[in-house]
Formats: sequence, structure tokens, C-alpha cells
Amino acid sequence: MGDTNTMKLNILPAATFRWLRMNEAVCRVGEIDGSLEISREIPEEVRSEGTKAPEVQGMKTGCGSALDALLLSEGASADAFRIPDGVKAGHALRLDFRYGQSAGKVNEIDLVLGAGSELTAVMDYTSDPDAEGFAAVQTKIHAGAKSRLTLVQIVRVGGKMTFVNDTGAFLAEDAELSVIHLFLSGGKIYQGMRAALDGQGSSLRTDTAYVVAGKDLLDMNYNAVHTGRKTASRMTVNGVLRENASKTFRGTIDFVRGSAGSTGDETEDVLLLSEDVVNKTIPLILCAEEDVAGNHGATIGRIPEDMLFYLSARGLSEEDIVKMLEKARIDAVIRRIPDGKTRDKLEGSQQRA
Amino acid sequence: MTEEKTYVEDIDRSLYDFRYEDADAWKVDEGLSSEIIETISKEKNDPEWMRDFRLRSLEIYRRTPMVDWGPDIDGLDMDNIVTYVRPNTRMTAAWEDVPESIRDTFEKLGIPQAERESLAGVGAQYDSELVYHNVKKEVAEQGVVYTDLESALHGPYEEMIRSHFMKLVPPTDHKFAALHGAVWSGGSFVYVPPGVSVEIPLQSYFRLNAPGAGQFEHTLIIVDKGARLHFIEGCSAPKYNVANLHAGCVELYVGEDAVLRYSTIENWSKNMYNLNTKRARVEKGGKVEWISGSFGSHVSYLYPMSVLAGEGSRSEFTSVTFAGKGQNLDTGCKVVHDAPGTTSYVNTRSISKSGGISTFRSSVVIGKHAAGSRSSVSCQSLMLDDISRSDTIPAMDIRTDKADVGHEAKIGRISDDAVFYLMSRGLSEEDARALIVSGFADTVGKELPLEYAVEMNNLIRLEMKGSIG
Repeated sequence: MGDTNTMKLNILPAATFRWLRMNEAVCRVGEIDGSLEISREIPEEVRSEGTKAPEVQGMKTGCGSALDALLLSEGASADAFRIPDGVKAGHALRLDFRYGQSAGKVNEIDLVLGAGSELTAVMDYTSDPDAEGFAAVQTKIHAGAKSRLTLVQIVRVGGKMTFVNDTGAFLAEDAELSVIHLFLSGGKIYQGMRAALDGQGSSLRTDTAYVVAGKDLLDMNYNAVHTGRKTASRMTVNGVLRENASKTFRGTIDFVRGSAGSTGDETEDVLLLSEDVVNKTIPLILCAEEDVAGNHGATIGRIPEDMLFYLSARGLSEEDIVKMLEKARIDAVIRRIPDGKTRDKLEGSQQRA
Repeated sequence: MTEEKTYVEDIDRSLYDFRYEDADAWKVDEGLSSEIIETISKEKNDPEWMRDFRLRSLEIYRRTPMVDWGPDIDGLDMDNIVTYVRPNTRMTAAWEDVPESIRDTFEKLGIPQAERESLAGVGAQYDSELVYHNVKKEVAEQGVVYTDLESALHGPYEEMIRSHFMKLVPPTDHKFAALHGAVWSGGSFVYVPPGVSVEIPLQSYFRLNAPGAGQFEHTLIIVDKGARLHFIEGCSAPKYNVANLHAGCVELYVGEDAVLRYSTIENWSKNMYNLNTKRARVEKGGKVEWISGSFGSHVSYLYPMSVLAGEGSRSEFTSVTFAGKGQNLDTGCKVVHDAPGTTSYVNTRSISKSGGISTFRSSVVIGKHAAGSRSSVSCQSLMLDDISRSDTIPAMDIRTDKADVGHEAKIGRISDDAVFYLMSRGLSEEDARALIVSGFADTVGKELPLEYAVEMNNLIRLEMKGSIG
């Protein structure tokens, strides 16, 4: 594939005014030369199949069909990880994507959880600081009845990389999916996330934290589709924009007819730290069911004056206050990671920073 | 969670559904062509610049694509729309000179009575032309100009109109703005001189009587420095089994420290495609207040826009939308903060029932030059059954760190606890639900003059009237 191709990603489930340029993202696709060899730590209870899982065939994801077509045309390798019914993994499944100096890789990961199983999966994307190129990872999840999955995805790639992290999920009855997203660095990051809450009582929780600086871009599209009765979704997004950073957050709670008794909440809190940042937020609630409750809220702006005054009065410089608030946002999400090894690694790199 | 459902009857529209034959009216052919535009221009005795403007707009219309978001408007075929219908009368300032059937129409709608009791001036448009226009003597003596746009085009205000007409909403804005530029007819021109405060409202009422016709009135209001005005717009039409189109345009210029309140109670019939465009530009220290009640039409695209161009300018938008059977009402607002210290406040309520679709759509843009600006958006939606639909699509684009933006949205149903509480106090379930819905919509009602708040509550009560089963 040539390096001038583009694809439309993160398409808003209900389009709005064209002039806002929020209906979709246009992503430049660079040279691709196969799939990345992933470094992996697999719990003994989890079976690695090295092929695509049949359960996720045709599953929709947050980024959309253009990425599906790209992965297909580039012959992305698929790795399926399966945990049987009723089994709890002893430790986290850890997948390290180390892109090194150059990217140009596409991968697909399938996670299949049997009924009543429990798993934590950590996907850590890193590269050399000056790495260039395009990379994409698509993760598809089939969560069986009463299964529990915590998916942790950490993006900290180089400032010249374009990275697409895409997720699709199907949740059966009473399945619970908790997604933790940390965006710590990267040139152009596109994040798609779509979860079909199909089974009665299934639930989705996403906790996202980001710091976007320099001329970097973060473009997100989260979509919780409630089709089952008494399903619940909660999306929390907190971040900081510095310098010339750009960020778009699309968050959709979609109550399909028949999802009676369901609830959906989404909140976004954005701290703007430069007069040159661009922040775009579009939180949607689509509702075709009477007996539901949906809420969203967004707070976007600078550090509140009273907070600034309070902390300054205690001897902190404005620079220290900014660092503290930035760290607080990231730490709040790190603390939710159930895998101690990953937490320690992230806290260590936070301290070094 | 109750298993019982409330059956809600469709609105009794008999108040608005009466109609008269348009046999005496003169109309152009259906569809759009340069010849039709030339004919309209000639009929209206346009100055040459306006004729050229219309023809340019037609070209823009032809090359502009149809919207690819929002409700379906495939049922609207411009080849079947008559863009100009002239009633068989001339505009007058005396109701007794208006032909009987037209006068009867406005009498039934209560316009002359409202004029006598609570308005400073009235314009009444029937199909494509104003048939009545009058302003109270004491208001005119303050230098306030309130007239039809066509008359103003041939008077001392021609230059003022030329420098403002479709400058806020250019024909390139979207396809139906271009259509409006080509075929506009009727509407009002208001000028309030510096420092003048018009204490009681002016009102324009638009009535579309002819089947298969379009109404394209243009409202141009200029409120000069330090002046104040409340302008009310009402609209209705009888129901036909063919599509009617309303593609009006409202341009509001709010001067320094001026205040303009623009209130609309829209109750078009349910065969109407309401593709209206409204926009205000607000200068330093000025304020625009939009009050909007959307009850009628088959399909609506309606997003009044405030451009906060002057430092410290403000915008408030308060609306209620009630979508019933066969209705797809896509309403909301847009705000552009383009100067420091500007403020916007958006508060909306939408209600869906009997298969109706209600969408709240908004955009708040805070530009790089708008440091110190603040915006607060609150939208709440109520679903009255499980065959309706309610969506909220709010967008925010913030390009300065010196801004504070808050947004909240809620969607849900009538609380069983609230119904139970009211029923325990002796209300029937139907009355309890109607009372809750009226309260839900009260943010708009309390902003309207009393007579209009009463009309709005009557509309809600009619919409809610039904049996419980």
C-alpha cells in the first residue's frame, strides 16, 4: 500500500453539521509490511490459538469498516486467546507491542471468554521516541455469559507515529467489560471502541485518561450499543491538552428499542493548558426506548481560579500545579488497573518523567 | 417500572386546520426555473440588484448538494412546489380592508385581538405576501420602523437592507438558504433606533393556505445601539395531503448594548417541511434571547444561530420541542463565540410520543479570540412511549484555554413516583402526566408573554389528552 492512502475512521453513529468536521476522522495510512511479533506473557489457563476466533467474525468495531478492509487487504495476522468456561486466569495476559524504530505493522487480537470466566488483558504499545510510520491493532472481544474482562490498553508511542487502536466487543448475559485506556504519547492516535451490550444485565465501564502535547492528535470514538434489557454503560474520560495539541472525543450511548431498564452515563473533563489547543467533544445519546435513563456531562476549560488560588497560597508554582493535576488524572486511571506489575511499571515511568 | 402504557391521542388541530379555496390567488408554475425567478422578481418590482441576487442564488441552489445528515426529506420534491402564491389583495393597515376569508383566518387565530390587547405592531402574511401591516402610532413616533420588506426596498432604507440582506445567512450557507435567496417573498423589516426601548412586543404571523406551496418570508431586524425589542413570530397552516415547504430566513443584527428577544411558537401542519434558517449577530455588550416552541410540521430542521461578535456579548436560547405521530423534529441551536468575554446559555426540553422523533442538535464553537468566554448547555428529553425516538447530538469545539464550558444532558421517562404522588393528591393519571409534561416545558412557557404561554400550555394539554390503558 502506498503512503498517500487515507481512510475514514471513527464515524459518528449519527452525523451532524458537516462544517464542524466531527462526523469522522481521516487517517493517513503509511507503508505496511506485515504484522508485529508480539511479546507475550500468557497465563496457563489461557489458550493461544494463533488464528482468528470464529466468534468474532463480522463483529463491528469503533473505528469502522475501513480498518477491517485494510487489515484484510494487508493480511494482518490474528491471534486468538481463549479462556474456558468457569476459569479465572491466575495472572494477567500481557501483550507488549514494541514497534522499535519503525512501525508499518497491523495486527488483530481476539479475546474469547467462556461463560463465567475472568481475565485481565494488558496491551502495552511502545516504540522508540523517534519512531515513524503507521501501525494498527484491532482487538475483538466475545464475552460469554457472566464472564468478566478487564482490558488495559496503554499507548505511549513516538511522536511521529500514526497509531490506530480499535476495539469491538460483544457481551452476553451478565457479562462485564471494563476497559482502561491510557494515552500518554503518540503523534496521531485514533481510538475506536464499540461494545454491543446484547445480553440482559451486561455492563461496560470505560476509564480513559490522556495527555496530548506538542502538535499531537488524539481522535476517539466510543460507542455503547444497548440492545439487551437492564444493561449498563459508564464512560469516563479525563484529559489534559497542552501546547498545540488537538483532541476529538465522540462518545455515544445508543439505547436500541427493547433495551428497557438500561442506563448509560458518560462524562468528560478536559483541562486546557494552552491558547493553541483544539478540543472537540460530541457526546451523543440515541434513544429508541422509553424505559431507560441516559446522562452525559462535559466540563471543558482551564484550571478553576479558586483551585489555582488555593494551591498557590500553599506555595505551589503554576507549573507544579499543572503537573500535579495532570498526574492526578493519569494516576486515577492507573489505580484502576488490577494487574500490579503493570501498575508498578507505569508508576515507575511516571516518576521518571 | 409499570407494565401499563399511556395512550396519547394525536393533537386536535381543528383550531388550525380550517382552510379556504385559493381560487382567487395568482401563482407561478410548480418547480424552479430562471423564468419563474424572473416572474417573481417582476411581480415584486425588485430593484435590479435584488433581481440579480435572486438569479445568482438559483445558480448556487442548483450546484449545492442536499444535506446528508438529519431527517429524511425525500418526500419533498421541488418540482411539485409552488414557490409564489399571491393572495388577491394588497397590503393594508386596516383589518376591515383585508378580504373577508383572509380576515376570518386571522380572526380565528386571534391575531387582531392580540394586536389590540398586547402588541405594539402586527404583520400578517398569507401565503407569499403580507396582507396586513400596522404599527402603533406611539411606537412609530419613536422612530421605530416596522414594515414589509418589499416596501422598505423602495424607500429610504433600501441601502440599509442592501448592506444587511442575506449577509448573515448567505445563499452559499446551505441548499435551502440558496433557495430562499432565489424565491423569498414577504416578511418584515424592523429598525429600532439607538436607545429606543420598545416596551411591548411586535408580532409577525405567517399563514400558509395554499396546498403544495412554499413560504419563503424574510425577516430582517436591526436593533441599534442601546435599543431593546421583543419580536414574536407565529406560524400555522391547514393540513393537506401534499407536501408544503417553509424555508424562511431570519437575520437579526443586535447592536452594542442592545437587547433583542425573538420568540417563536411554531405550529405548522403535519405535512410541512420546515427548513428555516435563523441567525443573529451580536455586537459588544449586546444580547440576543431566543425563545422557541416547536410543535408542528412533518419534518423540521431548525437551529437558530448566535454569532457573538462583540466583546461581552451574550446569547440565551430556551426551547421546547414536542414531536408526535408522523413528526421528525430536528431542532437545537448554534453559538459561535468570536470575541472575548462572551457568554452563551442553552436550555432545551424535548418530548417524544406516538412514534414521533425528536432530535436536539447543537454546536458551541469558542474561537481563539474568545478568551474569557463561557458556555453552558443543558438539554433534557422525555420519552412518553417505546415507539418514539429521542436523540441528543451536541457538539463543542473549543480553541482557547481561557474558556469555561459546561454541558449536561438527560434522557428518560416520566417518573412513576411523581405520577403516584400527584394521583394521591386527587389528580387523574392523565392530568398528572399532563401536569408533569407542562412543568417539564415550563422553562419556555415562563419566558413568553402570558397569552403565548397560555397558548403553549393549551397545545401541550391537547397533545397529552388521551386515555390511560
